[in-house]
Amino acid sequence: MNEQFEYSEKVMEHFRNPRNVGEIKDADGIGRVGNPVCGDLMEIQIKVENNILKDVKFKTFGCGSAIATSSMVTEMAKGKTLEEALKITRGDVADELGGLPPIKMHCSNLAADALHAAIKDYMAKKEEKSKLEAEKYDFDVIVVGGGPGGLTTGILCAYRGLKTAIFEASNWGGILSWLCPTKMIENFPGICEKTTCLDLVEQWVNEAKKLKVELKKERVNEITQDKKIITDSGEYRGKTLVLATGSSPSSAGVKGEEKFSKDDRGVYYYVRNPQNYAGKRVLIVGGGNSAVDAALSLADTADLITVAHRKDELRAVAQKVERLKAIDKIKVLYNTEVLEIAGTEKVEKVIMRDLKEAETIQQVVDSVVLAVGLTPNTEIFKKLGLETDEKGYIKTDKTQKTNIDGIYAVGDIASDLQLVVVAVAHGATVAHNAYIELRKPYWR
Amino acid sequence: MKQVYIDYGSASPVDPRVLEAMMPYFKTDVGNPSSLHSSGRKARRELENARGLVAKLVGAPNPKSITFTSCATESNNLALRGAAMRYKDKGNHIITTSIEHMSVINPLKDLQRNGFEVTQIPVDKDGLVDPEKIKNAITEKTMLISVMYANGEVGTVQPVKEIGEIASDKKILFHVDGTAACGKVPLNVENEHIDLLTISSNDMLGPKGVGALYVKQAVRLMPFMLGGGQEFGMRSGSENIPGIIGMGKAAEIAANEMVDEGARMIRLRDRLIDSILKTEYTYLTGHRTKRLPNNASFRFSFIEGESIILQLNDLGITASTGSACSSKTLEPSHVLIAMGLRHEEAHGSLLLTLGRQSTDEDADHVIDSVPKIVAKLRALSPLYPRK
Repeated sequence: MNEQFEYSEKVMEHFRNPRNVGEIKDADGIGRVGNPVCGDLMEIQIKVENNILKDVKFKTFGCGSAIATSSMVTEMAKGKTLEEALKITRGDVADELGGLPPIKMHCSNLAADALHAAIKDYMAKKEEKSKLEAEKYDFDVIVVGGGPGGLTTGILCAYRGLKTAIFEASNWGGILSWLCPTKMIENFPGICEKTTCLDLVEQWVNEAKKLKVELKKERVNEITQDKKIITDSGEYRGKTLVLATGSSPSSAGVKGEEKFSKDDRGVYYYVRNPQNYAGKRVLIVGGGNSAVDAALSLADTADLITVAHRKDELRAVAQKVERLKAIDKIKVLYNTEVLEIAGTEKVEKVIMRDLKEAETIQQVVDSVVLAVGLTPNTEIFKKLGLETDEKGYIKTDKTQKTNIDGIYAVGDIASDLQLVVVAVAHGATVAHNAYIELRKPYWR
Repeated sequence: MKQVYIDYGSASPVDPRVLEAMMPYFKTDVGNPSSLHSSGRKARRELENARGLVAKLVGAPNPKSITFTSCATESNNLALRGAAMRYKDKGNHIITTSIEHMSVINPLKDLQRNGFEVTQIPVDKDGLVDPEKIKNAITEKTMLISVMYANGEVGTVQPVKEIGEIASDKKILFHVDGTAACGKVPLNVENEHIDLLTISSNDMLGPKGVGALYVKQAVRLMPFMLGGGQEFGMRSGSENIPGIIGMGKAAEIAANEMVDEGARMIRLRDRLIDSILKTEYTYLTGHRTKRLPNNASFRFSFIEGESIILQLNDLGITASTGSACSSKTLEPSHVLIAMGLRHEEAHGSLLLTLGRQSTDEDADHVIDSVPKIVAKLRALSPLYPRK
């Protein structure tokens, strides 16, 4: 009988000098295990960081082996991952102590149980916390930007039954409503030449309202990695964030551009109202669709139209180029670069250079339209840590997902095609994938 | 480091005078008292002398009423089973208490299996038996009452005389387990109407391996050790002469020194009690005054007895606990439970039992050490309320 009661030297050593005694301030998990027969009670507290037991402390009411096993289990568990710690058994603790008297194996060897209870407590609390966190979300999907990509993403997400909000700082429809509101929609199968940009935007807004998309006229000042947006009026959290901030006309970077582009002094980026150009001499810079569109739109009002293009051929689609060439009033200067826009109060002339002949040309003009392309509005995302390509477009995978989990990008910020039809397609892709991620349907 | 033995209740050192008296009977005077040669006759004389000394200690007028056995457990067994079997025609009901020693509890359980009915009288929070309750439990079939004189674990001394009077009135045999009491408190079988008294040798600093049973004249027992008919036929087997002589010597010393030694131990005991009770959440177990002179027993909330014992051991102090953790069955002391303590309260018990060699310096060391250990273990306890 005697040897059955004898404690090993290691047990006595831990009993005499127990390790990790006490409590942890703001413990992440607490495990209390009692023996109903003798009243032994063990309490283990844990601190978890990155799934690792950073600290383990105990308090025990019980006999020598109860104290020694508690002390030992704290030493064994410290630094282990939760999964590893959950694998520590009563037997492991006893072995590590050089064995326990048989009679003590069951009654006082509860330390592993207490440790497991503490870990389970931590896990339960964590789950509870994330459940509470989840309930704190304002929307399933928050779309930043109310242009073609933003509006259609919002419509298609709402169609899927996701709670959706779209934030737009200025006009619904984005570039369509302020750059070319009266222009007929082109390059969109089914509605080509049938509706104006503004009409299409209006239809989108109506559809969004019908599907109970929250349309918020608020400027988004900041976007955080945990999918929170901060506006002037407050903060909103979405489980999914869709960036749809679109593009703006590029700056030509010409001397005088800055001075004359303000306060209606003669430099513009688009033709908003052709009547304003009546009887004027206009220089249009650029060779793509927007430059040719601008020239064509002024054919009935402007006095003289000159298109200056750096290349020896226009980039716009063939049919537009043909229409342009048929109008006498429009003159095209190929291989020509604008060097300076000059004047006193208003634009008076432009200085250009013929790249082929290496000559400098001066031309008297009243207005300059800089139609040199569109630049994606990605400035706001620099701080967020989104990856962009060399041209400044946000990198996405084929589901429109960015490098940050739960954040998508659609439309002109994610595609250099800069087409409405592409933005709409992005919206459909995002709606589908956000639905799968948030609702986890059986079919996936 | 100073060594303090304060566990006399578990086992006691043999008094050097006792050992000296025993020595010749191991070496030279080895005759069998049944033999007729001079060595045998000397053994017989000394055996009867020892019998007389033990009889004198307990106030038995006739030395022949003392039967030597091998230990107090045997004496309890012989008294209970021997009386029950001998007088079963008188009835089959036995009354006892809830705080008896296992050597009383288990023979009674065995008798229960053999047709006897046993009534256990509960005790109060101090471990005291109410004689009235015993009286009320008596039926016409009651043939034996067995009550311990004093409890070795909590020190409480029972109102034996009152119970004896009740038994005597009703002509019921009265057995008293005097193991913890004999030699420590004045005890008189005549005055206290005791018919059967268990006497321990080692508890009064005699050798182990010997005990005695006082059996009142005219009371007969059914022996269960049959053989050569030694000890008046009640306990066959060659007599343990060195042991019996040692027990006789121990009884003689106890009788002579009981008054002074008792007073000295009460002073030491009360020093321990008064000092240790100053520790917070600490309680005395057992009755404060109706108490063995050498017993100071406590319980400490929020900590466990085995841990206390191991820590005390590291400080050179040898003591006992009634904690379940330190028992073979992992059951807490049935005595503490019978006194109404919950398991976790019985868990934190500490038993200090003094003896003839205990000194003031011993008490000082214990008084100094116990609060330190209690504080140390409480710092580990999840139950101890934080200030």
